[in-house]
Amino acid sequence: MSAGDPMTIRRVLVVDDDDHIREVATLALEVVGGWQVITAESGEDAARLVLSERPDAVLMDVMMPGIDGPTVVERLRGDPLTAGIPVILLTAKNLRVDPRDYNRLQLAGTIAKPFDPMALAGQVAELLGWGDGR
Amino acid sequence: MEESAEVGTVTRPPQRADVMTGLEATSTGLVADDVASDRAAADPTRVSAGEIDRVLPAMRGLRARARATNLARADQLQSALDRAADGELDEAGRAQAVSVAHQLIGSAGTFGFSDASRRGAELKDFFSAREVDEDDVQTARIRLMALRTDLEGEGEQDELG
Repeated sequence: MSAGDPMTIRRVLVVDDDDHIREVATLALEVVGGWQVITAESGEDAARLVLSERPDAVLMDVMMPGIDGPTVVERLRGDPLTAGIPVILLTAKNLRVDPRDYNRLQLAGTIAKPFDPMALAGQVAELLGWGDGR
Repeated sequence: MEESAEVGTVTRPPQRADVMTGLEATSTGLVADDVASDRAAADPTRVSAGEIDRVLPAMRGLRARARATNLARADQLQSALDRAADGELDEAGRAQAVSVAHQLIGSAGTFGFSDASRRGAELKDFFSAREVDEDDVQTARIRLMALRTDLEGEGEQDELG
C-alpha cells in the first residue's frame, strides 16, 4: 500500500487516550473519509503500531499518559522506516504549536480539539493533500 | 506553544499557514463504495446527506456514552475540588485533576457540549494554579455546577441530536 496510489484505500492511525475520541474519529474517518483506521490508546502503542502497520498518516493527540504525542513523533522522525510518515497533531484548542516545533517534528499540520466529527475527514484530507484520490 | 482561541481550527505548517474551520474544509477524491455517489453528486467541499445519515445513529450512541463518562469526570473534579477547599489536594491529586479536566475539554466539546468544554478549561486553569484562595475555590464550584448542568442537558441542538 502506498500513500501516493489513488487505487488503494489509505490507512490512518488515530492515537488518543480517550476511548470515545478514538471511536468518533474512527467513525468519521471511515465513513466520511472512506479510509481504513487503526487506533492506539498510548504513545507506546502508537510507536509500535507505526512500525508494524506503516499507516499512510497518523492523527496524534498531544497530551497522553506516558509518552506524549510530540515525543512519539520525534522517535518516528529518527527512524528511517517511519521518518516520512505524515503526522497531524490533535492539540488543545487554546494551544498552538510553535513554528519551530513544526520544523523539528515535520508536522503535516494540527487540528484543534474539540473537533467537529463531521468535518474531520475533510480537514485531514486537506492537510495531507489527499484530494486527488484515496 | 502559544495561546489561540479558535475551536476546531486546522493549522498547516508555517510555510503555508492559513486557517479553516468546520465544514469549509475540503475533502475531495475517489471513493470506493456507495458513499462515492453521495459525494460525487454533492459539493465536494461538503459532507453529503448520505454520509451524515450513515454516521449519525452511531454518533448518537457514542455521544450518550461520552456524556456518562464526562459526568463521571465531573464527579472526579468535584472530589478534587473538595480536597482543594480543605487544603488537602496534594501535587499528585492536582496533576490528576488537570489530566481529567483536559480529557473532559476535548470529549465534551467534540460531542456537542461546548459549554461544559469551556467550563472544563476554566477548571483546568484552576487546578493548574499552584496557589488558589477561597474566592477561586468558590468560583470553581460555580463553574463545575455549570459544567454538570450542560452535560445533564441536551448540549447543542445540532445534527448530533
